[in-house]
Amino acid sequence: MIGDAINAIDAIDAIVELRRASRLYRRGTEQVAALIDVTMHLMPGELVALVGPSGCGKSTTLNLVAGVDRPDAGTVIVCGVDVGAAREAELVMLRRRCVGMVFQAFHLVPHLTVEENVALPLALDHRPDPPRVRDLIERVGLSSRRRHYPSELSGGEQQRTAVARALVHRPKVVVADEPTGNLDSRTGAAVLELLAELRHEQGASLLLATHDARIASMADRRIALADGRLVGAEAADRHPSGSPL
Amino acid sequence: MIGTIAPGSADLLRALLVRPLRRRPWRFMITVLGVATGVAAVIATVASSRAAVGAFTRGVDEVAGAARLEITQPGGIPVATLADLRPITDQAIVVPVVEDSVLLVELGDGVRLLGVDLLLDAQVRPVLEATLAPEALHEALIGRGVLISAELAAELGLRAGDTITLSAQGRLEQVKVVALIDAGRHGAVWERVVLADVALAQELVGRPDRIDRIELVPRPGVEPAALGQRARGLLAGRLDVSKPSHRRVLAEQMVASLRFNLVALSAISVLVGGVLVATTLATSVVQRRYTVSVLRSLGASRLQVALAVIVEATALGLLGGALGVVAGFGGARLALASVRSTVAVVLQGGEGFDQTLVSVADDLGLTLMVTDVRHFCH
Repeated sequence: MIGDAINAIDAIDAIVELRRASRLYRRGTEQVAALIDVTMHLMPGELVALVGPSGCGKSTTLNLVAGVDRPDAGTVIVCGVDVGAAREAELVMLRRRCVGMVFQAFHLVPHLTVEENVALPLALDHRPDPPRVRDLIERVGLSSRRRHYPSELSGGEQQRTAVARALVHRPKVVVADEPTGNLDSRTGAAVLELLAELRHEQGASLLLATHDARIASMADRRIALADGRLVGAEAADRHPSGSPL
Repeated sequence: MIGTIAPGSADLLRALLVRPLRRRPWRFMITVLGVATGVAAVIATVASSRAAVGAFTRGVDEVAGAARLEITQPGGIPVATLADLRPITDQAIVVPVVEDSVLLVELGDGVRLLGVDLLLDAQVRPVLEATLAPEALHEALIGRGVLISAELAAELGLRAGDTITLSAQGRLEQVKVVALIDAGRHGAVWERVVLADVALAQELVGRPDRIDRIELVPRPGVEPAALGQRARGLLAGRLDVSKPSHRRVLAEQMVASLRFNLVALSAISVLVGGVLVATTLATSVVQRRYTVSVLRSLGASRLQVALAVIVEATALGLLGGALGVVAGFGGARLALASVRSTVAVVLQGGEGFDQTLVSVADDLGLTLMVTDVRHFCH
């Protein structure tokens, strides 16, 4: 079962593996290749930055890894689950147990409070854990705001809520799509630092799509995409600040 | 900031459904009203159409009376013809009838003026039996007395003894209300009728020497066919003697035509109502698409999303449907009130009940169809 597969992941080297993965979209009568023959992997606890211009395939890659999309060709293995071949129930379990997501536009549920938004992944999986929710809210510094709605929060506070939500179910992989894209540089840095610290504490891998060369340089490795193809992969230089990123 | 719930799964999932309604009740109410308007349009049109057709059909029978035969002629029948029929009065009740439309000034609308031989007619039209007390009959026969329904009198604030003004043939004529017709189950049919003695009716419509038809009601034991043959013989083929069914056929042709028009109107109404419901719900669905996408990415299963969407759509459909049914019947009553002078209509309790069910079922079906649960699940 999926649960076994996810738990057995510790015994496997790569937590995420793409083998010649391709994804095509249809735009009218035209077929657009969003991702072509991409091969890459993500090791447990590793932070990998996906870099490249807009439309290069970063978000498509993240969607495949998060199990919200399937490849048209090739293989995508996440936490031991073959995303292309998995049944719907397996993908649901993958999203519930293995993957956490952080979006550029936060994507909090507007009618739920901070506390409820953070608790949502656990609630959808029918395993509420209020102490864990409270702990994470405290860790992201939103205890005093836990009963506020997203519309009552600043951008940074919303993204901190999203970070807590992405980690609350102890995922093995966190995918973050331009998580600082809607934030000023100072707030963005603070959110990133928080994300890095928390995922580091629980040993989750982080796959981060970014335009920002400075953020990319903080990753263990950088993977560059262009026009849907992988055009480069290299270990990044560590940031001079010695950030845990 | 408002109070929130403890983040247990069931409560949290319920909050996902209920919270938007609590936080933005107007948006929800507008959606409900959109659905209600669509349902109401269908019900109002169909219910009023059915009631109108039904009333028209009933009216033909009720006002026509129990005649087995009737004598007619284009342009009316000379009064002298009654004398020709005197030899068969032992076999049939011979009832002269004048019928025309006149304007009742106090009402500001048209009514049907029905002139009958009040002495004879109580044996023909059951409604008169209970109404024609000797005093009223006397006054109606010797003066300018008329009878109107109790409903019409109540509507105009009239009582027996009051005077009303009729406009016929370009002349204003004052007549006295001598009695009120307690029409009972015939009420709707008689509601827009002014009943007068045939002589007064002739005077009012300006045809003192002609009547519109003669009804022959066979006395017990007399065969209508034989009676008809006898009447034809007395009239020497000058006039048409036929069963009222002939008139009924004509009436039914009119009803069929009316029904066709109303069915067409109802079909348009169903279409418009459906489009209205669909558009309203599609808007509501689009507003929820974002939340559903987020939930799916966080691990919501198709079943969880489908349940949430179905619960919301069903609530919208039922609430909007219920409001629509009430508004629809209200609208139908208003529509019928505006055509009472043309057709005496009453909306019966059961009228259009099946259509109500169909409308609400349509509404629910549309709700779920437009919500496109499968789309959300994917």
